[in-house]
Amino acid sequence: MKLEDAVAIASAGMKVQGVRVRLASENLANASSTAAEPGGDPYRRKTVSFRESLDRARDLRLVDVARYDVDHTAFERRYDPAHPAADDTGYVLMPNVRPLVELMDMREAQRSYEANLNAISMTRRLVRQTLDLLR
Amino acid sequence: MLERISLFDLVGRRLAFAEQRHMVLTRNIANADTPGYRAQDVKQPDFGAMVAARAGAGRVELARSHDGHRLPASNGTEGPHRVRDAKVAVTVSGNAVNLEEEAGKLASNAGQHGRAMAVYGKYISFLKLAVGASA
Repeated sequence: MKLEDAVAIASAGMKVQGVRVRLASENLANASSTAAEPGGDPYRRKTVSFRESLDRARDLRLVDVARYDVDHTAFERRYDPAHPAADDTGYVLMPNVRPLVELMDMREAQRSYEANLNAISMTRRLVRQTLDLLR
Repeated sequence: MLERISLFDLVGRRLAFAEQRHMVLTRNIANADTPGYRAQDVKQPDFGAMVAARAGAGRVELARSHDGHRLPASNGTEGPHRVRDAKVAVTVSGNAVNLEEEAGKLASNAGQHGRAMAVYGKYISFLKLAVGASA
């Protein structure tokens, strides 16, 4: 175990939180993306989950993306006969994205990202304390 | 060579412990959103007992009045090992990492590392003084 390994672990943590922020912004951007054809399915909210992974080359336990998934909750049906994606009865299916949830998710990802960043600066502090012996 | 001086040995162990704990805490932070991950910590060796063992004189030991009696194994010689942190709440995804708590532990661990490093540096300057080098 070396202190540099701690930096590798923390940056793996930052990387996965970055993925999470990216997905949250994808979801937010597509919060009103309806189907292209009448009666079709609109944008489905994407999710991501993490897992602890083993880096065999360095014998380190990092974190990475376990899988990308989609949210299977029901779409909202909105009555809008003038909409190009409206079905025969005049209803349009809207994406199952809830902006508030996405914003909270993004906020939490940002918090975890900062915690990892702090872990890196703490590692730098430990290394500096050690190097100070040489001065 | 320096390890044969007991204080260097002791401080070295303290530093190794601080670095190992730093790695474990960093891993906790990186896995702050990993489903099923439980925060871990390192059990601290009994450094007080190590000091007592090295002080030698004035040490109280259990008397053996029968050959079948066995003295307890000396404290602090076993290496640090990971223990689970039981106090943290577990989320729906089975994750049990409290970012604030981990950040606090990380900071106090860095402080302890710094103190041990300061003792190490000071003792080196004592040695330099003793051999007549300009400290």
